[in-house]
Amino acid sequence: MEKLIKRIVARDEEALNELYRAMHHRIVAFAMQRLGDAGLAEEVMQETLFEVWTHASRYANESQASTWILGIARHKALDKLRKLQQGKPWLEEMSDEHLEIASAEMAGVERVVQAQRSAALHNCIKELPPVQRECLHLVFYQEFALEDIARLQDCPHNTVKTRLFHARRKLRACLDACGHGDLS
Amino acid sequence: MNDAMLPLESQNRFLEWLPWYVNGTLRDDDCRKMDLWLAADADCRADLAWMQSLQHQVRSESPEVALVDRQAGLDRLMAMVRAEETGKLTHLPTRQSAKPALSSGLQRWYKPVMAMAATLAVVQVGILFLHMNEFEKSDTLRPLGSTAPGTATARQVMIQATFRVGVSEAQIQDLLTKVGAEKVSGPGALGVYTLKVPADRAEAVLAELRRATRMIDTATVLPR
Repeated sequence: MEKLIKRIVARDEEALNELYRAMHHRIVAFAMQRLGDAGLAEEVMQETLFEVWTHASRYANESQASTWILGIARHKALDKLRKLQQGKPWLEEMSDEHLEIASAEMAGVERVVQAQRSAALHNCIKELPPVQRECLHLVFYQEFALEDIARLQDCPHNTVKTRLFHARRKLRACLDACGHGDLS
Repeated sequence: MNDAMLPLESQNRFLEWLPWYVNGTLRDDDCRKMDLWLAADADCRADLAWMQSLQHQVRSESPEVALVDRQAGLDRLMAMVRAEETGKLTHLPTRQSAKPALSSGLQRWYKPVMAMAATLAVVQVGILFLHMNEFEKSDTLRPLGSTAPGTATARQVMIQATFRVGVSEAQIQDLLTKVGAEKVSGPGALGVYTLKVPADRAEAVLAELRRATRMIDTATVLPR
């Protein structure tokens, strides 16, 4: 990915295309866990990659390119969140509706159980404080190393560990309470 | 397997490292310690299994992410890039890094083109200023560049459209572009958008919106 950034510095549009294909879902999923809305998450993705295109020369190779890109996405998502923080309950409700629709459309008992488990987990994750939720996403979805998460969240390594420790404990308690504690 | 409880300090370290053991980014020497603890302690293995399941669930794509139209997003991004490139000439003087990249042929034309671009920019600012003044005086919504108020093409009609749950912002934007409507506000709490269209196209746009039944629940013209 670092090579792609170098090509983007040289205004290579095909490199931007490749970067889009590589990072599209990762950025959307990352923004989703902050914003809870696919449309806004997609806006974040586009604004992020456009900023990469216009400011690729700012990438300093101090971290992985994906960490740098998600760092931009994080700022964009937080900006949007600040603008939306005037209490819009539909933002939170939308993902529930989608999960219910997805559940209803799944055929077979096993898939329904899986959908319920997945819905329970998503609901429990939503209950976590945003920084803990983000931490969990960065570890398990983005598969970031401890150092990268600390850099992205701009905090010491131990803070990341503590956030994750609390996230895991709360998640387990929440899943136990809704009968999906074993996650299997 | 002959299990034995790990000392508390090792247990804590195990739990601390476990997420990065699961996601594959833990250093090799730490991984080896984890392997030893896992071999020795059944609770550690249970923790590992739980966390692996958690990762599996977290990584399973959420329905909302799957709904996002990848190609439409790429098209929009590339349109932004093109727009940025079109406007590049007026920005070139301030971008030092772009200067050496200019070919000799372009360098010959650089100054006259820049002079023309600067003149155009001044004219554009003047036009914008005039339109802003007119806009403040008028209570009719009108796109910049349209004819004076009072003429048929300058009038706008507001349409209220309710989009179905699950339709992404990208899909909505695509539809609006296709039918030639512009978003004024929305979505509201119930997915309601207010759109504006030129008065002479209002009927046609309304009909097109109503035909998009897979995306739209209702579309009505708002009273003036």
